Amino acid sequence: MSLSRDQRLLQVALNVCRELRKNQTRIEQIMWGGLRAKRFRGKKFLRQHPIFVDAHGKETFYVADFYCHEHRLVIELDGRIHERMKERDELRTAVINDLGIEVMRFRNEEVEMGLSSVLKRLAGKLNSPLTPPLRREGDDFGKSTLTLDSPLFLREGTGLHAVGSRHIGSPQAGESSGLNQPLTESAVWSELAEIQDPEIPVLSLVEMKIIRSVSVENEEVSVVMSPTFVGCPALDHMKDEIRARLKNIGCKEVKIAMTFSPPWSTDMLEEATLEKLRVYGIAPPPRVQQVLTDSLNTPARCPFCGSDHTRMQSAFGATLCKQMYVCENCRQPFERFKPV
Amino acid sequence: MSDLPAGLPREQLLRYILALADDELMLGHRNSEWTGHSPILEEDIAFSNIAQDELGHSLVWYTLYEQLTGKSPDSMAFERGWQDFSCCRFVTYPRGDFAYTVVRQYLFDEAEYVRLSSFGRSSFPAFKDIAGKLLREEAYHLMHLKGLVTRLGDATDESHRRMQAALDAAFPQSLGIFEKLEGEDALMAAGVFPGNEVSQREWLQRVVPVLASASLKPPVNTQNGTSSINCTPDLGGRQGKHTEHLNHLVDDLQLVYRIAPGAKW
Repeated sequence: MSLSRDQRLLQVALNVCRELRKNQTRIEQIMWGGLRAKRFRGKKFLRQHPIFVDAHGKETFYVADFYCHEHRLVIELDGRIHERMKERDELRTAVINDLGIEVMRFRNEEVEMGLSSVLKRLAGKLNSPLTPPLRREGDDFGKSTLTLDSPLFLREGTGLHAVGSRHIGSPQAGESSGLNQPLTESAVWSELAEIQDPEIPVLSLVEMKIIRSVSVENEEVSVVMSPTFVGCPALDHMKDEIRARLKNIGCKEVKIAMTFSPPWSTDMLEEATLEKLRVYGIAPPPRVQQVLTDSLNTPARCPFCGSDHTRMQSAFGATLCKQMYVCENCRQPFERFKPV
Repeated sequence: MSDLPAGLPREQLLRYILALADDELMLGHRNSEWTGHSPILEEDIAFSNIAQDELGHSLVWYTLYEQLTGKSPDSMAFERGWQDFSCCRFVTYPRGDFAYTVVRQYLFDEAEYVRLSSFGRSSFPAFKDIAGKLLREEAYHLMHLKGLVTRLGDATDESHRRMQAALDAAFPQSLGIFEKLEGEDALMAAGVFPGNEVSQREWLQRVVPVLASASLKPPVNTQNGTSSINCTPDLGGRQGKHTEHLNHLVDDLQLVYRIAPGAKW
């Protein structure tokens, strides 16, 4: 096909998608509230995104309600009209599947009843082996691997850019250092930075400032930790993982000590960490005031819609580190990290 | 195992640490009995959180004990007989109705606040560090319980009746928190803490006005700004003299551990 025909199809697709985006349905708005700005698990989602296919020898495009390139996943919202178009949908899905893209469908009613359960289902899907994050041999993060001929494009700013398999979030682990390499403090820190907080998997124990200090002497490592909350049931699990990982990179002996000097405080978390919390869907803790509980007077910003029009339901939540809030604006319940 | 800083009386200190740990363990256990049974969901969550915090605090004290004696927290919590615990009797009593739980928790949280704050000036560095951490978590307990006492104390006829009845029962029992400990004078002399008498006075000054603001009357006479107690304190816990209630509590607490001692979870 000639380049000019491709260009024209592209332009039509972009115009159509732009119009669709301007006229979002209410249900699409709710869903977008949960997916936009990488707030869902740090994943980038696009809405009303064109997917170019070669259907029966004719180049055309379908518009995905939402698309995540990292997982090659399309999300479709079905209203009553879709019930009449089941056959058409099945055909489109088959064609899209042939591109290596999966399609996940939600009914409008499901989204209306509760975005959180929809997002839960989505999380389950992302965790399943069928849609692993895209990673190809020789990929360079940030560099494009797709050309104009390829079926998928991302519209960024004013121009058209092809999208590569860019990883969102913290860089992936490199190979663990072999047992032959001498154990260094930086190697230990790198390994510990891979350990995720079991309750908030987008944050590492290092980012959480739970791991206070590290010292290495030959093949013996001492790790000093400070617990977020002393009753946290994940502490033992964290210690087990620290030991296992450090043994894996060549430690003969791992000593773990707890310290309360100074006591762990949410004030220790860096801005970048607080932002990651927010994107994950937990409102970050406010700075701690002189009287600790006065910190609760700082209003929580809804992690879904960004409104300050929120109300604390309880200073206690499902875990020791969280408090329960409700957003009066978008009516979603959410959690805030407890300032301590 | 670590050594104590020079000049600190070891036996008396160990006895005190155990009392602190035992208090938290028993009260945490009693609070956990509300999980799934609280009058409203939010209080179920609140008391479950408070219970979890308290069990965590008991673990911190037992861990300090372990650093000094080599005896593990599990062995201290699950292998001692009920008459070997040195918690006050107050925290061993059944949870009662919600009013009793609220009054008990409030009185205990104020005592904790006074106790832990006094550790900020302790000659024992571990006490200072631990208190610094625990106070940050306790702040939420006190805030919550003060709020409940203030609201329930004079909300309706029934809430007032229940809260006053709870206070009548709980106040004499709460004085057991400040029962003089064997060897306490040595600890005071070494600057570990200011002693139970001082703490109780400070505690009284805090609780009497709050209770009054909720129209609740403890058995206390206030004259010229000082309060004097007008009831018989329920003592004995610090010497291991407990009621059958603790016997049943310990049976519950230790049941699973005793079925398979030393089991790996």
